Amino acid sequence: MFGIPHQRRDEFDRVALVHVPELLRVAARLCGSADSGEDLLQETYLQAWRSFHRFEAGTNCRAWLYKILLFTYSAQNRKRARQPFLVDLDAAGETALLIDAPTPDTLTAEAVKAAFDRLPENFRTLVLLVDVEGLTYREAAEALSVPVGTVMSRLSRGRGLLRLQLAQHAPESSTGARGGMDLSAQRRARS
Amino acid sequence: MNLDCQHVREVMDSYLSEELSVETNHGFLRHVAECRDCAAELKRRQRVRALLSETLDFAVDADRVRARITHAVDREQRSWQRVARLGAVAATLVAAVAVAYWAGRRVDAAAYNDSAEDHIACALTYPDGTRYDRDRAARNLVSPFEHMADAVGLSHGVYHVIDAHMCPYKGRNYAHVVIRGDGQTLSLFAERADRGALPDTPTTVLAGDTLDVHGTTQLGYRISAVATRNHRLFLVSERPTDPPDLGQDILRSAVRFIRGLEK
Repeated sequence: MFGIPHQRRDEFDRVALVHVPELLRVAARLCGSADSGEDLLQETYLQAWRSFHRFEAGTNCRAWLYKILLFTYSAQNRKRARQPFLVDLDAAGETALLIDAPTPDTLTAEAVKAAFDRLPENFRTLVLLVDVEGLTYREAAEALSVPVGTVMSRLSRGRGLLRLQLAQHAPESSTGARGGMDLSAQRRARS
Repeated sequence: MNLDCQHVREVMDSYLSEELSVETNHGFLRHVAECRDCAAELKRRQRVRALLSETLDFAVDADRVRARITHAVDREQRSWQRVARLGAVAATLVAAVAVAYWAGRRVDAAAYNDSAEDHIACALTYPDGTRYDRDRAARNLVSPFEHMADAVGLSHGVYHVIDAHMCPYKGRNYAHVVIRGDGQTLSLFAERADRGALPDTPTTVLAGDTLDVHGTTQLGYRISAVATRNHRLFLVSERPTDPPDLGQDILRSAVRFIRGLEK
């Protein structure tokens, strides 16, 4: 491709740049800082511009941009020295499935943030997209190029793991165990 | 649909994400309205989401970032346009070299035959006694060949130019000088070298020059042909001129004229 026609540039500005505020927020949340988020978003938009000849006018530009954003984020993460997952993916998912941890009564922003940060990357991204950004399962599936069933499965594990992290780091008295769904009982019931 | 606590906990997040079917949603709401534990869990999960949104909220300046992105895309676009321009220039150069190479490799297979045929079709039809008419020649020759007859020379011993004109033949556009004397008619043709190289024939060197003179016979006529940078010259005769080097004199004069055009 030798360049993109000027009229495509006008269209790009019209249909893609309108999503900057939303995607900037997501990028900052993915990266954990506003500055890194800005860099990620700029790279995302440059990738989008380079690929804009493949974008079909009239289709969902927001979903297309989400896909590029997540791909770019993933590629950047691969480039950096790979950060080992704080929790092993499979083990974490299995744990979350086995134990439906109740949410603690006492919740602080710091505790929630710490629990979120401890989530494995795949789960954290999905929790962010769906539970924070409000994407539908279908939109999240499209953005991540995975089936809807995979989204639901990962979300279930991610949310369960988040609650587990909160429960494990919450003061003993603040777990919602009083509701009759305490962890040890569940472990016994399921084993 | 009646849901138990276990089921309600399982679908609770999907309820918060508004992903439940209408039927399950009703069952969920009925259960939560009656079950204090599940209602409390629902509130805690709503609180987790709210805290997540709150704690993950970074101060961002969307307008500034939009301007930054626009600037980056502008720069990218200009860069692509430069690449495209350079690419177009490179492609043109490659194409020009390829065409030149191809043209250089092409051979004008009909070159000798066409000159002999046009000699028969045109030069031999001039009536006896035709005399050169400078005005007529000036009218019938076009640029850049309008002075060709004068440049070649109107008289060469017993041979005299009797006419000169542009002579279209089989897609060619010859400048045709008709010469008569010593009981025979000669044709001097000049054309642009648009059809490739002269076919291989035995050659001699043009007297007083470095050009090869291709010699051959077509349709019973002798053809002497010379290739300059951008033109081809053909001298067609029934037999060798007398004196024999007269044909070379005529060709040499014509070459000098053509080279003047090519400067």
